Amino acid sequence: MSIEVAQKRTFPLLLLHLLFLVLPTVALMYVFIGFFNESRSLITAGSFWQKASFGLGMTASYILYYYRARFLITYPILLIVLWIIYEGLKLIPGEFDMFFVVVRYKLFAVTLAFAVLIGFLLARWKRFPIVFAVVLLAITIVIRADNTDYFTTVDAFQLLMYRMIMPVLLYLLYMVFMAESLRDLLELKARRIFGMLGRLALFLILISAGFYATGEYLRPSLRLVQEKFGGAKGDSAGGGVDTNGMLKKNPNDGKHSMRDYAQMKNNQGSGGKKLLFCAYLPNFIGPDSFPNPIYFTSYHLTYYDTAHERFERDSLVPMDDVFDPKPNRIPLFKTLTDTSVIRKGMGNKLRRSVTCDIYYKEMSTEDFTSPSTAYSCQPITVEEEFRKEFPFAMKTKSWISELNSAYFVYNTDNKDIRKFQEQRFEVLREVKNYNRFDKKLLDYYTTNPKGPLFDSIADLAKEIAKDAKTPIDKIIAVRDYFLSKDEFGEPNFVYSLNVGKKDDPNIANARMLRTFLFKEKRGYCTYYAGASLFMLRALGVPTRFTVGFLTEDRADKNKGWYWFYSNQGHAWIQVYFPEYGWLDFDMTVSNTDSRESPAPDGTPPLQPPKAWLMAEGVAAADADTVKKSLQVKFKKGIFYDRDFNLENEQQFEFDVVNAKVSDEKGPRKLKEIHAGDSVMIISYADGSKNVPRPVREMSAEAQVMRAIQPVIGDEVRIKAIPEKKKPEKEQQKKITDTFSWWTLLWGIGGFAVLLVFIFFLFPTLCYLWYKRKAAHAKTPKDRAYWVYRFSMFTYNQLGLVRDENETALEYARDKVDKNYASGFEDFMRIYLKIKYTNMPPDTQELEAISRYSPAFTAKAFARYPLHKRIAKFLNTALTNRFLKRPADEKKTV
Amino acid sequence: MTLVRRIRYYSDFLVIRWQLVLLIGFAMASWYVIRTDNYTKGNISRFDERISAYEFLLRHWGIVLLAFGILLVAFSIMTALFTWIWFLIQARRVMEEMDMQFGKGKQAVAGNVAATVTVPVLFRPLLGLIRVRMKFSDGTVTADIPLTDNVREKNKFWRRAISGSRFLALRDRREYHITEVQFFFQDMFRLVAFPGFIPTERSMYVVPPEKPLLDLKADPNKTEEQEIRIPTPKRVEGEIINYKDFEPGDDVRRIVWKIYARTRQLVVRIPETTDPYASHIYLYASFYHGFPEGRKAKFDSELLNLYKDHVRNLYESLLVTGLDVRFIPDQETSTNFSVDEKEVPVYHISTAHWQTNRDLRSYVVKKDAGLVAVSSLIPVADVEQLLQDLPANVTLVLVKVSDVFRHHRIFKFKDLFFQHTNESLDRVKRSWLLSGFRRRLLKNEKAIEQLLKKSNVNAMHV
Repeated sequence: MSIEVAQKRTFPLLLLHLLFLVLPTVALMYVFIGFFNESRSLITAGSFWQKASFGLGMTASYILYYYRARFLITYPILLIVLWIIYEGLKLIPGEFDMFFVVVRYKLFAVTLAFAVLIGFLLARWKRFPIVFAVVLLAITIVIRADNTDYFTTVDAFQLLMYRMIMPVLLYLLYMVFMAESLRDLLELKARRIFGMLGRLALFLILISAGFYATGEYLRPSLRLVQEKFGGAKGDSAGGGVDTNGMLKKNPNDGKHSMRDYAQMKNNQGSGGKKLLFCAYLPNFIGPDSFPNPIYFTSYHLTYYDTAHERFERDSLVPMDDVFDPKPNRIPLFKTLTDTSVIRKGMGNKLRRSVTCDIYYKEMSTEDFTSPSTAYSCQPITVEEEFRKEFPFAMKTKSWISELNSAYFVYNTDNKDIRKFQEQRFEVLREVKNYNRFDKKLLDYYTTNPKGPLFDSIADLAKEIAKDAKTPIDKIIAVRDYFLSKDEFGEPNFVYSLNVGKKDDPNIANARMLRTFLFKEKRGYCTYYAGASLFMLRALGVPTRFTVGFLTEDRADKNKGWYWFYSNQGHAWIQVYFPEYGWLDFDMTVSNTDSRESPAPDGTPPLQPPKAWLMAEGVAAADADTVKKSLQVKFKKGIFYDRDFNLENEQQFEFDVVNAKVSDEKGPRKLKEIHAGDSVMIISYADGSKNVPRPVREMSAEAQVMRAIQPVIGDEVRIKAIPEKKKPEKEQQKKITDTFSWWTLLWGIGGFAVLLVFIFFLFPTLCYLWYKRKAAHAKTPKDRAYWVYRFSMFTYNQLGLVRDENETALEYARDKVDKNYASGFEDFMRIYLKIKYTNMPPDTQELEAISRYSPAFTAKAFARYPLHKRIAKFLNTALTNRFLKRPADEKKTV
Repeated sequence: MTLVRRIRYYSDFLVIRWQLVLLIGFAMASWYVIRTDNYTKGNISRFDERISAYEFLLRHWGIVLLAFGILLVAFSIMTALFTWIWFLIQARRVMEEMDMQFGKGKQAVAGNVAATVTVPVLFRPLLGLIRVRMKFSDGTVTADIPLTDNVREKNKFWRRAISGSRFLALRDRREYHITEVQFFFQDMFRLVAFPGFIPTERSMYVVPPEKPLLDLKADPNKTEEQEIRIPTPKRVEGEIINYKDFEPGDDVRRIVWKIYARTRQLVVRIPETTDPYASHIYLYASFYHGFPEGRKAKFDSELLNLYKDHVRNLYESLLVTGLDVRFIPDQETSTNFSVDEKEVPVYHISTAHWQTNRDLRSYVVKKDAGLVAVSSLIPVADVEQLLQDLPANVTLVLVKVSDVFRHHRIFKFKDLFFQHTNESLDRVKRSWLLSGFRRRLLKNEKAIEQLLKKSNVNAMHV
């Protein structure tokens, strides 16, 4: 049926394809893989290697399939090879490290197989880019929808918009355009390539302008949305890691950030003893339930940056076991869990999970802290009477080591404690060396920067620990060095806040450490932590710098409650012991100040019982103030810490006799709940109620459906009461007013109608134009010409078409005058005379000209009834024919 | 034409393209996601209570992007629509002024033929494209040729016309009659393609490619009058030997008026002379097909291509001998357009078909023939009959047409992993190997070979 095209697969053409098709796809996937990993909490899953293997795999695959490799043969071969390698890897002996390699390989293999498939489709299926972009877009939206609760702020959304959705859309448009353009590029001539590039540039300009214009058009409404949902300030402050750890104020809630108060100088100033938060940590020793405090960890500094002279959080740190969510972004009762930190913590011996309730006071709710290695966070409610003092509370879960008790860690001369600590040392003495520890990790955590200063620290460390054999002995040797006394019995190292210069950073840098170790021997926690880090690393002990809070047990009455003041911000080190994981060690010499903080005044907040049901929905009817019940339609919620999402919206009756009704601003009355209000109902699992027990094997949805109605509600939170907020209502209206489908449709439709209108009106417009020209001509010659054109046009439009080879005079004589007897021939003679001679027209002639035009129209028009005249003047084809005819009679001769 | 092919062919004329269907589907799906009852009914007071901020923003942005997309698409389609309307208005001019070329004119060498179409007065849609394709009289259509180039006159900024060219795989050496040119106006996203058809009457022909010339022994056996211009010296007045008396039939323009002025005698210059000796080599190449049963169009055309290649090569090899060569065609070929006189034999060779009504006996005039080419499709009996009392100085060339498939591979190891480009010929070869026609042909070919070996004529085979 059709004749084939001579396909030319030249190398230069391939290069163009790689540049204009493959590179944008790889770039898009680069963004997408990063995004995907992030949203799936796979930040350390080696996304660089994923991106690299994807890019290379896709490029290679494109080249292969460009040259028409057979997919059904080559692809299965690739899959088989990848599978064989995978099986082979599994056979290699090795425990953890091998498992690590296998997991990595699996990820790599899947990525590669996927990349090759994409490359093939891109090379062979011309509509693939559209499908691909649409699928990516859908995945993006679905991924985010999965995590909606976590990304509720406008800035997070904008980030998604600009980082993912816009690029995908741009890619879609670009590929639709470019793929076709490249296919049309049949010969590689410079002219054609430049032509294509020019068109591409024009296209991009057009698209950008379009995007910009649309954005500008809808900006006001977006701003309203932002105001409504709050949070966004345009430039997002979150996300970036402040490497100095010195954020002064949290821009979002105006509260003091943990990082602010973790000024290790143990601020003695005015704000120095503010209560940041309190926590209930049910961790006890022995049958007497002796409280066993644990240091609260925030983050680790693992890397010393010699260029900037400071310790840094390293985003590429291997086996990063820090769980660092923003608690205020997690919805109430929603549990955010990342168990991968347990695996990455690499220690399971003597470890267990412990739950801790933390009540925030002055601490910013953006910051997260928890004992030891946290892996879960769930915001919870606070009993009403404590809500003013502690506006926010959360339940965290930590994977703690029994060897991490603060009593093991405190660096003190207290003999009882020292004796107690010996038990831990005995256990850890079993660890002789790090031979079985991953070499790469060991290198990472035992490498010091190069330079004379670090050499001298290393020399000092080796001197101190020359007799120590095991890692723990090395640690003890370093600790003892800091505790050592001179010949007069005076300590060599002293705790002091008044060291260094005024503008020195809080976390001591190498220069400050030199002064500390070799000259002044005075400093505070970051000095001791920093110095011991370099010393232990020099001794081959994997160490990291940890920032968090010193936990002090000062309470006699409330066992397990700990209070954290701003001066408890602390820095210490963690040392890795195979199988035991990272363990805390504090080298700071006795710091009596912090332990003399005021005893906890006031009582700890009452812990509300565990919520068994939290339902988010809409009031189906106004609250029944007589029965004290409330009908709520809901779909989503939480059942015993498990999310549920019902298939259909369900209406439940809630008994709200004892329920506390509130909204964001404070208590409300039951009667203020109206149909359509968005509410959240919480029911606590206290013993007095008949609540369903959780069944592990059953889905949360099914269990919710089994609940007996009416369900007793303990708390009702109203999300918004529209009646009270009139201005807001207007705002909302504005949001929709700025855009209307009808306006758009009207616009497009109106434009189309206008075009049609102009199309049919065209003859009439021409007629009027000629008429006007004829009436307003200044010289007799001009007038004659325009009257002539006007008459010719009118006759033509009335259906007297002049033949190709007919002269104007013949036309006038044979066609016009025969039909209308309007005296056109006489006029033509005068016109031709004026045109072809230099004689000026006499008065008679002039009169004839000016008389002619109204006369002839009257005569011609009289022949036709109005509707026929209109019909004739709608015929654009005749006009077109008239105008197309070359104007052989020029105005000037 | 099978039904599927027919559907595929006619579906190309649908204005809406696949991309647009996909985009509309995508837009409708987006709209389905975006819309909620509250939002569309304008009952905004409860809107934010039902959905999260994420959903709200998603919907909001969804509407922004959807609106942007619709505007963009509408704009894009409009550009194509306007240029198409302009095309309809200008259709007559397009028909008159459109130009098509194979190679650099009407003729091209078989294989990858550069086809060029130049069209004046049309406008391309903004960032979009006009594609054209030619429809031949046998119903086949060429691949799309995008009109991407601007044709400018020297030192002028505005273009005179737009043109596009593309290499088409035209393997068959024959005449191609273009009956229609199909136009497609596509917008920048290729969402629509407005079709337009311009009927036309053009013919192009594709000739066999040139090959290394053969060393042929052939004698002229036919005497024809030859017109050879004799270079005449400039001052020849009075040299009576160069003139003859004017007689009716002579060209009046040759009358030498100077002599007439002197002598009142009408004389004409004699620049031509007649050569009385045998001068011409007559090349007979029979396109007779002696195997009517088992014929298949796909074999025919491949065999014919090969035969034509060899005949052209024979003709050109004879030309270099310096003698006059005349190709005697065995069939009438359409000469519906003027071909340069020198090109006529090649044109005849290119446009010939296998024929069944003029066999070797009635075609070859034995006493005139200088060289006779026969294909292996001619029955051995006919050849035998020809050989009888054939003058000894006549060369007989057997063209073994079955060779067309011989050198073509069926399978190579590389083919396991890579598709190779000449697949259509492969498929023909596969069915060729299984056909009974092949066996009969090879048998005949062998028999002719044996016959030629035994006979004492000057025989060769290529």
